[in-house]
Amino acid sequence: MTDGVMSSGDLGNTPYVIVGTYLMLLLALGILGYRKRQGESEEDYFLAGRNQGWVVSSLTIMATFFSSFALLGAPGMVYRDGIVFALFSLNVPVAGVAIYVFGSRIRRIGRERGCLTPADMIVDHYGSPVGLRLLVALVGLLYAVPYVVIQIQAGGILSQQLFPGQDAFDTGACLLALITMVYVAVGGMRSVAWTDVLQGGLLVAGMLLAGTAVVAVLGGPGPFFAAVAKLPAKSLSAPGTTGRWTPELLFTASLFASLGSMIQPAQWMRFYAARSNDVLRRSALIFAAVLTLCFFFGVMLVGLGGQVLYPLVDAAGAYRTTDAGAILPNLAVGQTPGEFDQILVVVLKNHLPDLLGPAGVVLATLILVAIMAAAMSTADSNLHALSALITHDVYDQFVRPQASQRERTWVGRALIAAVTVLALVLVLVGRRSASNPLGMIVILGLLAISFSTQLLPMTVDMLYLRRGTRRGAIAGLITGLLMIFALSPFWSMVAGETFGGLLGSMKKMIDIGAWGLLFNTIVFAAVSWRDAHNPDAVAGTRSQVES
Amino acid sequence: MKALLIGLFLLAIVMGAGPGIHLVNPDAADPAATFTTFGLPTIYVWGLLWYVVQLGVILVAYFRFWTTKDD
Repeated sequence: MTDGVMSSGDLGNTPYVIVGTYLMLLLALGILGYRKRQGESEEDYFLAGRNQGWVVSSLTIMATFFSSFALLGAPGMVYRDGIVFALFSLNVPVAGVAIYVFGSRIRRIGRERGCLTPADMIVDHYGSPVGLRLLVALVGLLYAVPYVVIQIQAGGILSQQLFPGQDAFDTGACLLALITMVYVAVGGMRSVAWTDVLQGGLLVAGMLLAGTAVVAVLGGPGPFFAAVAKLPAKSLSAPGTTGRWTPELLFTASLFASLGSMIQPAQWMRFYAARSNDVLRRSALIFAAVLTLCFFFGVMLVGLGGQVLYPLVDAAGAYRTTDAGAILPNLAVGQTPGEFDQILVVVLKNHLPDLLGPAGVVLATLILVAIMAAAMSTADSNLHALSALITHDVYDQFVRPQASQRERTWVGRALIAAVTVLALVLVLVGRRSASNPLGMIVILGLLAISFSTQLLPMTVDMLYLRRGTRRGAIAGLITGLLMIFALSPFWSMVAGETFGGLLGSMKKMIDIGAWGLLFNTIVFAAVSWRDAHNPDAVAGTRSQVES
Repeated sequence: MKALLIGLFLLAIVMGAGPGIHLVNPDAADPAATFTTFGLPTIYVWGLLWYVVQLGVILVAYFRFWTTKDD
């Protein structure tokens, strides 16, 4: 990491005051959420009594969607690969449409049948109380754990930049994890949603301010784009500096990232929690209109400005690379390929105080707090959803079905603590390994999303088509998950270079989530079709909704 | 009208962040290639254009088709 390079602490004491105030506010909202609880029921703890209005719903959906992926990862990826990754912003309107198209039906059916988790609805539809429930819970786990890990990692990165000292990364990661854990465990969905309102507002403002600040640092829009126009040709064209973002890969990643993010468990439960259809309708519009602008005119400009301020090429136009050929960031930004993600923090910290004096210090700190807000708001939602999945889909069903409502909420709280500690350990251990396996935020985030994307075929079938069967859903989901596993970095850890050439070629063609989805859909459709033409096999596997 | 909106939205997805990029993507290896349009990176302008299309479709759907009723 960049210890010693950027940890001079030149923002003075301002970060201590602002970050301290912000964290106290979060704890206060957590306690308020606990005091406003309506009894010790799972429905109240996990879904806030299904009574969220449009302001809270839209901001909590936004805050859950936007994480350190948006505020650190996206500018980091533009800093590395150039303007082509800015087009990833176009996944946001697709996600907005999904809020209404999927969310309104999920909300209605969930309310009618008293569903608490995604598995409740899927199991109710396909009628597989054990296999499918556990599989859907597993998908939630595979999505949520990496996502929580990313957010805690972001807390460490921020702390490293804001506060001096060798242990700043560990302290920041621990503090972010601890405070998030406390307010989620105490107040449940109500606290998560209320803190998300504060955090959602902060992150929208932070994204736009960050873009504005970088443009201002370079002298305004005219000089900014004049300087951008002089960047290396690879930075201004597809597939970008590293050659990763071919239009086909970008297309599948942005399309399925948006859909996968919207049917991941934490968002699915927000649809259940919405008070009415109109709440989701408004949330969808606000989401699509506002957040895309935040991307295009906010954080994406940071990555471009970063390339101007901290060039990736030397005077001769040569890129700095590792022995293995991986492109490296400018030395002032980081020393390893994973440190492109620090560009926003580095730009703000190094340039805003010079540009605006004390006001620049406050502004830089506020934007950095916005990054923390983005990380915490996603971590809290995923911790909360994960707790619901394990408590409701595993503990309630298979461990202690006779547990009281009070016991269930306390098990949920204990799980939040356990998962937080697990994620924190992963971050701290990963950072100490020679080659940090957690890598860049965007890469790990897209891997997590690729898992939740595998719920798409059965979600579409369940909500609209109603032709799939239980066996088809199970077979498709298992196939999709295995495909993701084979294309993920985990494969080489287990199987070495087996099929390495084929898998490597596949990864370059389209996003790994899209590969999983393709095989998932084919198997789902084929098995369901076979069941439909084999009356003996189909008995009991048809949709419960149809009947 | 509904089909038109759906078609337009899908087109915007394919063109904006998909294979449509090939239509405007400058060749990085070509010394004569131009990388900007109206002073902005061409790919950035391309993305903004398709965002406007997507948002237009969403606005029409919001006011004409997305129901406020709970059923």
